Amino acid sequence: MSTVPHLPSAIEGQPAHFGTILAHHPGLATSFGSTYATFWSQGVLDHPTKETTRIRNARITDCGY
Amino acid sequence: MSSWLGAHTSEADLLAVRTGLAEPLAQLRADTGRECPGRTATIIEARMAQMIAGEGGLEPFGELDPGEQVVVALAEQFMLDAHGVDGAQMARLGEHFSPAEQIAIMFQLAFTDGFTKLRRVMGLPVATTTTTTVVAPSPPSSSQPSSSRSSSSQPSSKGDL
Repeated sequence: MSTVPHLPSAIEGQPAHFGTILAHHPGLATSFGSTYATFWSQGVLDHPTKETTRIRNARITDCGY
Repeated sequence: MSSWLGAHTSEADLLAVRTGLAEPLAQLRADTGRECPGRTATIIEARMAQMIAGEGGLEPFGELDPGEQVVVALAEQFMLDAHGVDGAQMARLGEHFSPAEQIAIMFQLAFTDGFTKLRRVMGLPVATTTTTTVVAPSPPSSSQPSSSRSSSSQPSSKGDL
């Protein structure tokens, strides 16, 4: 998969990455950021388990994170 | 969706009329079976069967405009194999949608793909009615890039996403 961003950064002076591209859509970025933070900082699942699934998913899907 | 014969049909009926399709179909099946990982070959086979039989189409939505056609092609590639979405396809998306809209489209694909898998893995039935209320995010701010599509083609009731 290409690692060249298909959209430019929406934040002047910063390179294109997930966060700066998402900034093209501020409302969605805010909502997603809040939800994502809740997923990672709260809940009934311990953090190592969350991290294990994240890493495994990233490896299988060739995600850079 | 009409089949390749313009009406609902079977593969045998199709090949009886369009004999030249037999070899390409066989070759496609051989290629996908040999090269496609996971369920991709099975999905392609199912899609081929739909196309032959004239099923699984988008007739309820009427004729798709060029932007919608790009989205449909992108959605199919995204679901089948996201690694196959290339720069040219994303460039075509950019011809019809603003950056904000492209972000929204990709989130829509990611959520539908992810939650469809979630539903499948958890054995959840397809809900026919909504039992929870989803509050749409606030409308786009005025600083957001304007759509490159005509307003008549914009959905009006789907919220920000």
